[in-house]
Amino acid sequence: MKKNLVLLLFILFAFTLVGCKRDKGITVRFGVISGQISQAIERLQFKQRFEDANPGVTVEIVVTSGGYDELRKQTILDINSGNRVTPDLVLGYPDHFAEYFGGGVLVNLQPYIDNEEYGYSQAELDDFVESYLNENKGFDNDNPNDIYGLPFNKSSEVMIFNKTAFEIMFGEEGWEERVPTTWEELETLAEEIIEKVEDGELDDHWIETADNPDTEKNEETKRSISKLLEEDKFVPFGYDSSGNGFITLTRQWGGAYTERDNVAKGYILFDNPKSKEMMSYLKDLNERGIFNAAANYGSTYCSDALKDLRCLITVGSTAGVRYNESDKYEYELGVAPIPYKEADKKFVIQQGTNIGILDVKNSEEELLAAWKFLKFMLEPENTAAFAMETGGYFPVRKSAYEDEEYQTYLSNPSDDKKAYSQAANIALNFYIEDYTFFVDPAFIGSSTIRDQVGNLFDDVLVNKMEVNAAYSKYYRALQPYVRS
Amino acid sequence: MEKELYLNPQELRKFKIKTGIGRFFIYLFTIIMALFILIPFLWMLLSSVKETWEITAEQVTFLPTSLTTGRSLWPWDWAWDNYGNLLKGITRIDESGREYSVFDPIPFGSMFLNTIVVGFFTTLGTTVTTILAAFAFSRLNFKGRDTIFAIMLATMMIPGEVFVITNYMTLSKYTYWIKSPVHFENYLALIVPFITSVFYTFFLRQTFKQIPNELYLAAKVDGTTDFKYLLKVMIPLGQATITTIIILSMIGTWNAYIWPRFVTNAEYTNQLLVSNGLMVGLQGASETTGPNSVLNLQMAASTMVTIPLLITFFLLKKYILRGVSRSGIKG
Repeated sequence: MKKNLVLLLFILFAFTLVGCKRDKGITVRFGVISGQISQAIERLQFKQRFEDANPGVTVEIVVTSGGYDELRKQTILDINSGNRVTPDLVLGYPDHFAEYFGGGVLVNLQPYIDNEEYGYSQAELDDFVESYLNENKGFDNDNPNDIYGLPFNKSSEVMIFNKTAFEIMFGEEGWEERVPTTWEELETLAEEIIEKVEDGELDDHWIETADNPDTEKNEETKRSISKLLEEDKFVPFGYDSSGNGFITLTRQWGGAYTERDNVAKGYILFDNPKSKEMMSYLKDLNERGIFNAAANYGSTYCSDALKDLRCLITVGSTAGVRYNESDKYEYELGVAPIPYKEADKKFVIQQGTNIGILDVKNSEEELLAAWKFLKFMLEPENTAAFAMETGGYFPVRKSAYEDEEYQTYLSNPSDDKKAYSQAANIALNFYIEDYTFFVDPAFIGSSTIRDQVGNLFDDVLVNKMEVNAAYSKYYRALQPYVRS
Repeated sequence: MEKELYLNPQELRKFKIKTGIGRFFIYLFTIIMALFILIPFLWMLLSSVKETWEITAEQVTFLPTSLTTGRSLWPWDWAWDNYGNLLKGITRIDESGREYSVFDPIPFGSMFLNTIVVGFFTTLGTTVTTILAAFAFSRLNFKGRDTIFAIMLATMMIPGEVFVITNYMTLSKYTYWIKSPVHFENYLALIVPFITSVFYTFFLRQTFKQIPNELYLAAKVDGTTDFKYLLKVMIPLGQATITTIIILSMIGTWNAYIWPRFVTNAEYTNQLLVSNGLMVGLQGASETTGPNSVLNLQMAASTMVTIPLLITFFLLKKYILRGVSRSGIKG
């Protein structure tokens, strides 16, 4: 017994002595989040392909379970713990990068980009969607044009609608003309939809309960949209993300949202007549039963309402288009650009994260290897492959849209990618040239502001708060960000 | 005289009614409390066997309902496939005959195995160090004993989450274990920081202190060493507490989430434990940016990991409750 115990203790202590030596090659650690992104990176074999082409370099994909915020927390902890576990490349939003920049570990990519041997030529740099690059500038006040990150997974918002319902209401020929492009058109269309629903035009199309083979009674009933309308459960148009809704529409109405002095300090500006006019307009639409925020439907996402036929049109993330497909009711989805107010302000939000390089006691060789891996992942064929594998994200380089496989994906997608392909077509045909992709300046605290204006949006539309009162409330809550 | 010893029938009736009413309210209260605890469990179980459309529908149903008839289904018609889907994944075939995955299987096998391995060694380590430390603090006399013990107790005032940070920094500085691709090293990162516990040491020390000094002195007279006394007398007498420590430590590992999440690279799915494995596995289907339509699978997965713990609890209920009620505190 005594011997056994001593042996056990010995084993336990032996455990603690393992793992002291390791050969030192060049290792590139890439910090990503679990889920779609890490799965796509694995399936596309970025790691293996890069290692094969660059002998002596090992790539480690470090996956953090959870979302981007968890990755940010983990990275900050890693930075404070020393270099061994800190990712060399990390995925993140600009405001995360602002924190890394503040900590002095975010690497300026400009010298790498400018390098003749392994950098980008001007033509290659122009190949990136411009707004994606702009998002990564402005960290250093002295050199505001220096790039501190490169875009990786980029998405946006699109308008998704129940195409079958459109065909029923406006005819198989004429429906396409009725897809709204402006808010005005949307308003008229929504009113017309409500009339048509009241008349029961959509009532006999979707089977709610079918014949039960076990009974003799004929029990087939159809989903009655008119009844839903009577019960105030049907509202034709919904906006998924309250935060995006507020920010995008404030811009479309010509109002200001935030501004920044530098990455450490930014201010709110949204208490202006334009923004309030926008909010009052939406409130009016909401009161008339035309427009809802997701929470009005009792869900986090309008797709739940769309799937349940309590809604026909939503604005949602391109990354979530597929979630609008229902297993219960049969219909086809249509995808279109989001409506705009005035033709010179076709603003649409640009979402998704970038990759930055972190330097925590790294050697130059390691940083260079990290840069090369970053560059490798952004080769046109790789960004196209990544976009196709994930579905909801767009290629970050224009030439990737010319990629042969990507062309097939756009014109003749497989079943599972149909909805995503439609969204990608919208991005290519409308957003890149015709619309203005915008992203709000990132600074420490900008994500808090984003959350709060989302709450403002919901307070007005869901909690029926008065517009002016809501603005005052959130200005008080965001007092530290008010320029004095 | 004798009559006074008995309550008169009227008093007796009054007393019975009084206790009856009292008991009624006690039961009512207990039942309501039990419902508070049971309903979320029941909801989890029922949701785990519902179809996806039902989960996201506007109409909330209690029992799984048929899509075609709208009536409640018999248990054998419930969507038990959800459990199979967790293990097999969901694949669909598109028009061109290509198979594609809509939900990747969750690696329950390695998740359970890893948790058991980590749980076993953590518990073993904790038990050994706890017994030795508790013995030293309760029985041996050495300089500064009470001071050291007071310092140890003081560390209990600091929330465990704070130690996560310091432990992480220590390990990342001096070892290669954090997020190591080598499975064995990952085990070390999960086990080594948890092979001691101040709380259990304190817990066991209190038990050891109750053992009378006379036993120790008698053993000494018989020429026993301290170690032998610990093995032959203290451990058998403290068995109940030690069993509780073992059980609580196992449950602690099963439920641990923060530490495993920090030290495991989710890229190596074979290294995941039950808790962080669930998060990783379900994230493939429900992106943080995307609508969360797989609640039924999430509930099925939660049920899968709860069941082993529930079985363990019912089997060992006697020991767990004994330990907890004796100390009046829970780990």
